[in-house]
Amino acid sequence: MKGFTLGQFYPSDSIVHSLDPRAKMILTILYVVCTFLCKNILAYALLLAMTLALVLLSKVPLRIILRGLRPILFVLIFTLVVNVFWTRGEVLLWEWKFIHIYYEGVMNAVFMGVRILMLIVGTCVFLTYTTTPIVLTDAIEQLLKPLKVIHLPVHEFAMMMTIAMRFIPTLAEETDKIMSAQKARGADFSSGGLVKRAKSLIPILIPLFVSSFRRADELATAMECRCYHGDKGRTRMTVLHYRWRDLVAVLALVAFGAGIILLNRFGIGYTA
Amino acid sequence: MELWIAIIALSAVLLAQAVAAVILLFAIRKKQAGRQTPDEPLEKIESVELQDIVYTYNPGTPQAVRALDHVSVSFAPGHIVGIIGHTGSGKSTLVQMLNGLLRPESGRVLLNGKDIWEKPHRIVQVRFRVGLVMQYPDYQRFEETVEKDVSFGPRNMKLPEEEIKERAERALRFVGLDRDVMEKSPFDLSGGQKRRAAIAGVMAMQPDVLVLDEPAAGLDPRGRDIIFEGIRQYRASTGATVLIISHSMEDMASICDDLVVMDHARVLVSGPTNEIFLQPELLAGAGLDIPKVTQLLEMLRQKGVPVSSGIFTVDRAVAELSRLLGRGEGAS
Repeated sequence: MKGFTLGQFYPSDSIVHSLDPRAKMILTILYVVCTFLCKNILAYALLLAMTLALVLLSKVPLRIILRGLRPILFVLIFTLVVNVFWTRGEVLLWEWKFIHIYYEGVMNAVFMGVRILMLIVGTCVFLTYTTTPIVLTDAIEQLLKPLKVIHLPVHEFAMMMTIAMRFIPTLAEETDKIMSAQKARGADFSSGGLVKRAKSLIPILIPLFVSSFRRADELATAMECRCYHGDKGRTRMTVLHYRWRDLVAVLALVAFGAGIILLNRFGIGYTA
Repeated sequence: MELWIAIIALSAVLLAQAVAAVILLFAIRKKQAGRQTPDEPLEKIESVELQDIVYTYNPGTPQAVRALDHVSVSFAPGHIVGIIGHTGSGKSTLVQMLNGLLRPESGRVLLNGKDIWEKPHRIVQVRFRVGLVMQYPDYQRFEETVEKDVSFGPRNMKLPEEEIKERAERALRFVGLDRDVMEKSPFDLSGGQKRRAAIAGVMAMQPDVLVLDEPAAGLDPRGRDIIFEGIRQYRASTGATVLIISHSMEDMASICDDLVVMDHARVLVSGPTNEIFLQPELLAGAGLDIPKVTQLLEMLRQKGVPVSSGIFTVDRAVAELSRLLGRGEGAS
C-alpha cells in the first residue's frame, strides 16, 4: 500500500500532458458528448480510432490503461448481459425456452460496451493519467469562477478538495500503519460474522479519527500561520495560460464530433 | 483560530480520511490470506532466519521500489540485535517480514527452521510469538484505559482473564509505568508515557522475539533511557531475542550484542557490535557513523595518546581515560 497515489497519474512529456488543465476539462466534456453522439458502426469506428490516437499521443502504456479497466469489468459484463437478454427486436438469432436473443440486442450490447469502455478510457486519459489531481482542482476552480457572482464558495470548495487530495496518500499510509500495528497485536479483520467484523474495525477507526482531528487542527493552525485568508488578493505560484495547442486540441475534437454526426447519416448496418 | 479555516481543514482531512479508509478496506478484503481459525499456539521460538528475501513495493508500476534484494540473515537467539542503515535502506521492511505483516515475493522466513508462510492461516500465531512495535506507535491507542489497551494483544490470544491482567501489569512494570497510570485514558498520557504504553502493549503478549522499530525516536534522553532499560529487563527475564532499529549509534553501542548493517536493500555486513564498529570505512560507505565517543578516542590515538581501541560507550571511555590519567601517561 506504500506509495499509493490517487488517480494513477502517469508521468510523461507527451502533448496531452502539456495541455492546459482547463482545456482538458473542456475536451473531456466534448469527448463525452462525442461518445453519446455515435449511432452506427462507422461512427463507433471513428470514436475507436480517435480514442486510440489519444492514448498513443498521451504515451501512457496500453498495459496500464487495461489494468485501470479491471475494476469496471463487472459493470461492463452486467451491461452486456442485460442488453443481450432483455432487448426485444425483430430478427431472432437464438431461442431456448424463455431465452430469446435478438440481433438488435447483440448490436446494442456491443455498442453499449464500446461506449462505456471509450468513456472510461477517454476521461481517464484526459483527467487522471495525464493530469495531477492538484492541477485539476485548480482548473475546476478557474472554470467555476463565474459562479462566485451568485455567492457560491468556489474557492473554499476548491481549497478543500486540494487539501483532501494532498492528504489522501498520507492518510492511506497512516491507516495502513495503524492496521499493521493492530495486526501485529493479533487483530483479525476478516473472520466472524458481520457484527464481529464491524467490531474488529474499532481498533482502527478510533485512532484514525483521533489522528484526523489532530491533523486538521495542526493544518488549520499552519494555514493561519501562513496568513491564509481566503482568495481575496491571493496570487498563484503557477498561473495557468492557454496556448495555441489548447485551441487546436479543442478544434480537433469539435471536428471529430462533426465527423461522427456526418457518419451517423450513413445508414450502414444496425443503427442504435 | 478562525472558525472557517478550521472548518475547511477539518472537512478536507475527514474527506481524505474517508477516501483513504474505503480504499484500504477494499485492499484488506483482497489481501487477507485465508481465514484465521483458532489454532494451538506455536512452540517457543529458538531461531530466526531470513533466506534470500526479495520484496518490491508497487510491483509493476513506474513507482516500483525494490525494498529487499536477496536478503539473507539470521539472528542469534537471546541476543539484542541492532539493525542499522540510512533511511530507505530496507530496515522497516525487513522487520515487517518477520511477523508476516508483509509477504516476501520470494525467499523464506524461517522460525525454528519452519517457513511461516507454509500455513498462512496460522500467521496470527506467528504474530503472537514475534512481537513487533511499529514506528511512532503513540497514536495507535483506542481503548478507554491504558490497561485495556495493553490487554488488547493478550485478549486476542484468548488467554484467561486473570492471566491477561497479570501480563498487562507485568508489561507496564517493564516500561516503568505504575499502577495509577493503568486506569488513565491513553490520551491523557505524556508523549513518552504513550510510547512506553505502546511498547508494553506488545510486551504483554510475551513474544519470544521482540522487534522494535525506532523505539526511542523523538523522545528526550530520559524517556529513551527508560525504554532501553525496559527492553533490557524484558530480555533478562524472558530470554527473548530482541531486534532494534535505530539511528543512534550511541544507543546501539550501549545495548546491542550484534549489529546488522543494511544498505540499498541488502545486508552489508552483520556480526558482533564491537567488530562492526571497528570498521568505520565500511559504515561510512553505508552512510553511517561510528559512535561519537569512538571517533573522539580515535582522534586522541592519532595524536599519540595510547588509548586502546574498541571502546564504544561513554562509560567505558571514561574508565579508559581515567586509567590513563591515573597512571600519568595521558596528554591533555
